[in-house]
Amino acid sequence: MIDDTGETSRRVLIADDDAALRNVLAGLLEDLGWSVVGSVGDASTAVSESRRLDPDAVILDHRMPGLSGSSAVPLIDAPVILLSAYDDPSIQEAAVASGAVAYLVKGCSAGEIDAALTAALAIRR
Amino acid sequence: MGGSNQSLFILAAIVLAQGTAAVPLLIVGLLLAWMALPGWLELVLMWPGRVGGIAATCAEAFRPYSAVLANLTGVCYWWGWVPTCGLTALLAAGALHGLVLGAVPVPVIAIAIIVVFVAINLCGVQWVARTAVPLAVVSAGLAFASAIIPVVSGRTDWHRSFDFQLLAPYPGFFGAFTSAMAGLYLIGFAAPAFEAAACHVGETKDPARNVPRAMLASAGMATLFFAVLPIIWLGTIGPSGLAGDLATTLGPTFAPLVGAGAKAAATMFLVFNMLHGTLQPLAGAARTLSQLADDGLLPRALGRRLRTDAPWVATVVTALAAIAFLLAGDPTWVVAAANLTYLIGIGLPSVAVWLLRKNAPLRPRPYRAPTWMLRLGLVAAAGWALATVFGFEQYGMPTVVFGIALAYSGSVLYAIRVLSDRRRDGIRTRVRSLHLKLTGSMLLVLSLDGLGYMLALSNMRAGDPALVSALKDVFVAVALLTLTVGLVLPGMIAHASGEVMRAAQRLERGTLLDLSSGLEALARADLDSPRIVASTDHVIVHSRDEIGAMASSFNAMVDEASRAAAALERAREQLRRHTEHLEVLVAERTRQLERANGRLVEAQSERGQLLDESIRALEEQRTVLAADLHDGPIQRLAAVRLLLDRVALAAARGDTGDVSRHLERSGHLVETEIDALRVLMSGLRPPVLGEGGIAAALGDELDAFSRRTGIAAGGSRQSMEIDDKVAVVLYRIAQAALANIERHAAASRVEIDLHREGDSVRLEVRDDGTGFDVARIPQLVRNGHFGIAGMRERAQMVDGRLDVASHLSGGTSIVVRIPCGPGVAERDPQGTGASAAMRQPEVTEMGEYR
Repeated sequence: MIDDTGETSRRVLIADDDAALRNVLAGLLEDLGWSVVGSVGDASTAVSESRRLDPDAVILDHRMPGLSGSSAVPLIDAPVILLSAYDDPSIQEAAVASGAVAYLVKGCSAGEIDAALTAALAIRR
Repeated sequence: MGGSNQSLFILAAIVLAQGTAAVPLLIVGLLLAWMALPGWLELVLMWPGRVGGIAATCAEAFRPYSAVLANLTGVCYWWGWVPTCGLTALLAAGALHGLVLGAVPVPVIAIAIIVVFVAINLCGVQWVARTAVPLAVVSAGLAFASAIIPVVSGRTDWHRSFDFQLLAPYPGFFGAFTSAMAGLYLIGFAAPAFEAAACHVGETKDPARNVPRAMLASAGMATLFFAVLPIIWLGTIGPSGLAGDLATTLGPTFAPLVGAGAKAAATMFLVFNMLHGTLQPLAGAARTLSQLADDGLLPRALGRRLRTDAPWVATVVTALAAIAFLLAGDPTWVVAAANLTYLIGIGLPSVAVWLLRKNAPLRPRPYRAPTWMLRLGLVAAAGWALATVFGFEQYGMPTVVFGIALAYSGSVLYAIRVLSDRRRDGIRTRVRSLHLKLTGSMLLVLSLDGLGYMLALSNMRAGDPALVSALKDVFVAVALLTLTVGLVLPGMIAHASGEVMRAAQRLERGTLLDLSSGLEALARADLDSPRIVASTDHVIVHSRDEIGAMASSFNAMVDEASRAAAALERAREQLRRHTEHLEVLVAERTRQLERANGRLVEAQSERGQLLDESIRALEEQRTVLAADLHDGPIQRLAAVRLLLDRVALAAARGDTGDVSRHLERSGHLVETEIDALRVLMSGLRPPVLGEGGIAAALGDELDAFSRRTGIAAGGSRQSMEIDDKVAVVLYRIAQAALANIERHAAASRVEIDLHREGDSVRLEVRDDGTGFDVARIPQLVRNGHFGIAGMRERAQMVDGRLDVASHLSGGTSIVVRIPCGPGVAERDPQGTGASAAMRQPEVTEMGEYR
C-alpha cells in the first residue's frame, strides 16, 4: 500500500496476551522501521482493531485467552502472521490452512519477523 | 382236664402178670411221675402260648437242636394216647352193654362214644371242659366212696392189703427183675398220665396260676387211684378181684352203703372213669399234633382248625386211629407197644428242661423248679428207660418192633412236611442228604439186627429163658439206640450242619458282601452307600463234638466279620463326619474368601478409580505445567530473544543508550523468569525434602499452611534419615491431609507429629475439626473423593499402613506407619511441640479404617 506521503505503508497491528512480549515486539518492529498502529491483548480486539485501523499486516499470538489467533485469521482482511510458542508441524499446517501468511515460532530472530512482514506486505500489494 | 384215673384198666393186666406186687409197682411208677412233675411244670410254662402239653413244649425246646427230635417227642406222645382212647371207650362200652345197652354191640357203643366226644371236641375247648369236669367229679366221688366205704365198714383186710407177691416168668433174680421192670414199664403208661392237664396251657386263663393247680389236682387224684385205692381194694376184694373185671369185682366196695345198687355203682364208676380216658386223647393229644403242624414239624393239614379253634383234622385222625385200635380189640400188646412211644414222650421233656437250664438260663421262666428236682426228673426218665430196656420185651418181640415202628412213624410225617414245604418254596429236594443216608443205614441195621434176633430166638426155644430174656433186652436196647443214631443223631448233625450252612450263606450273602461293597464304596469315596449290616447271628449248636467245634470256629469268624464290618462302618462314619466337618470348613473358608474377594474387588475398583484420578491429576498437572511454561518461561525468553535483537540493532545504530536499556530490560526479564521457574520447581518437589529432611519439609509445609489458612499449627517432628521414597510418601500424605483439613475440617488447630516407632516411622496429622464417619470412606471413594484412599494407596506403595480415627465434632487423626528398618539416624528434634489443649481423636465406635 502507498500512503499519502507516497511512501510504502508499513503499518502493523500486534496482538499478544503477554504484555511484556508485546511491548518488546512493538519496540523491535519500530526499530526495524515498521509502524505499530495497534497493540492489543486478545484476538477479538485484534479483529475489531484491524477493521478499524486497517493495518498492512497483523501479528497474532497463536494462543490467547478467548478467541485463538488462528481462529481469528479468517476474520481479518490484512495478512496475518501467527506467532506461537509451539513448533508442532500440525499446528503450523493448520495455521497456514486458516489463511495466515506466515507462522513464526517464539524465539525467532528479528530478521525472521521482518522478512515475514515484508512478505506479508508483498501479498497485500 | 386230663387225669390218670382212666388208666385203671391196666391194673388187671399188671396184677395178672406181676401178681399183687403190681400195687407197690404202681406206687413206684407214681413216684417217678411225681419226680418229673416240677420239671414238666417249668417247661410248659416257659411257652405259655402253646397247646399240646409237655411233649409239644418239649418239641419247641428241642427244635434248636434237631427238628427230627422235636417231631419224635410230639408224635410219640400222641401215639401213646391213641390206644387209651380206643381201649377206654371199649371198656366203658362193655360196662354199658352189660348194664343197660345189652342189645347194642360193644364196638358200636364204643365208636359212638368216640364220635360223640369228637363232636364235643369240635364244639370247642370250653365244651370239653363242661364235659370233662362232671365226668371227673363223679368218677372221683365214686372212687372216694369205693375207698372210704370198705374202710369204714371194716371190710378191708389190711394184712392182705400189704401182702405183695411178685410173679416172675422164670425163676431167679433176673426173672423177678424182668417181671418188675415189665410191670413198671406198663405202669409208666398209666401212672404219670396227669401231665395231660398241661395240654391246654395256651387255652387256659392265667396259665402260670391255673396250670400248676390243674396238674397238682390231677397228680393228687392219681395218688388216690394208684396208691390208695389199689391197697384198699387189695385188702377188700383180694388179688383175684383186682385181676378181674372191675365193673363187677368192685361191687363189694360199694355194697355196705348202696346194697343192691353196688354193681351199678361199680359199673358207673368204671364207665365215668373210662369216658374220661376217651375224652382226653381227643382233646389233649390231638392238640399236640396240631401244634407240631403249626411248628412245621407235621403235615400242614393236621393244623387245620374250625372257627371254634378246635383242631378238627388232628382230632378226627386221633379218633380214626383210636377206632382202628378199638376194632382190633386193643390188646395189651398194642398198649405195650404204644407205651414205648409214650415213655419217649414223657421222658424227653425232663431232658429238655434240664438242657434248657444249661443252654438258655436267661429265658423267662414263670415257674422255676429247684435244680435237684430237675435232677430227679432225669432220674425218672432214666427209670423209665431202664424199665423199657428190661421190661418191654416181656410183651413179645413183635410188640417191640411195632413200638419202634410207631416211634419212627413221626419222622415219615416230618419228611412229608419237609418235602411239601420244599415243593412250596420251589427248592430242589436233596435226596443224598446226610440225614437220609444215616437214617436209611440205621433202619437197615435195625432190620438186619431184628432179623438176626428173630432167627436166634426162634432157635433157642428150649434154651435158658433168662438168656432169651437178656437177648431180647439187648435187642430193645439196640432198637432204642437205632432211634438215637438213626433219627436223633443225624437230625442233630443235619440240623447243626444246616445251621452252619445257613449261617455261612448269611455271612456270604450278608456281612461279607456288605463288607466288600462297603470297602468298594470307601475306595470310591462313596460315603452314602447303604449301611453295612453285620449279622451277629450265631450258629446255635450245643454239642461239644467236632460239629460244636466247627460251629464255635464259625461263630468266631462271624464275630470277626462283624467286628470288621463294625470297624468299617465306624471308619466310614468318622470319615463322613470328617468330610462334613471339612465341608463346613470349606464353606466357611469359601465365605471368607468371597468376603476377602469382595474386599479385593472393592479395593481394586477403588485403586482403578484412584489410578484414573491419578492419571487425570497427572495430565492436569502436566497441562498446568505446560501452560505455566507457555505463559511464563517461553514468553519471557522469547521477549529476551527479541530484546537481544534490539540490542544488536541498537548497537548497529551506535545507540549505546538503547543497548544498555535493552540489556537491562533483558536482565530483568531473565531474573524474573528464574524466580518464576524456581517457584515452579519447588511446586514439583520441595528442595528442603532432599536437603533438610522430612521433618524440616513437614515443618515448612505446616508453616506455609498456617500462614495461608490462619489455622494454628503444632506437633513435634523428629529429624531422621529415611529412604527418599518413604519421605516423599510421608510428605505427600501430610500435604493431602492438610488439603483435606483446609477444605473440609473447619479446624482451629492442626498438628503434625513425626516419630520413630520401632522399625517404623510414624506420622500423625490431627486436627480439632468437625470430624466425619469413617464408615463412609468407601462411599466417599465411590463419589470421587479420593483424599483418604489416595493417602492409603501411597502408604501401601511403601508397605505402610494408614489408620484413620475420627468422630463427629471431635476432630480427625490420620496415622501412617511405614516400615523403614533400623538405622534411622536422629537429627535434632524440630517442631513446636504438641498442644496439650488439643485432645487426641479416639478410635471411634465406627471403627478404624486402614
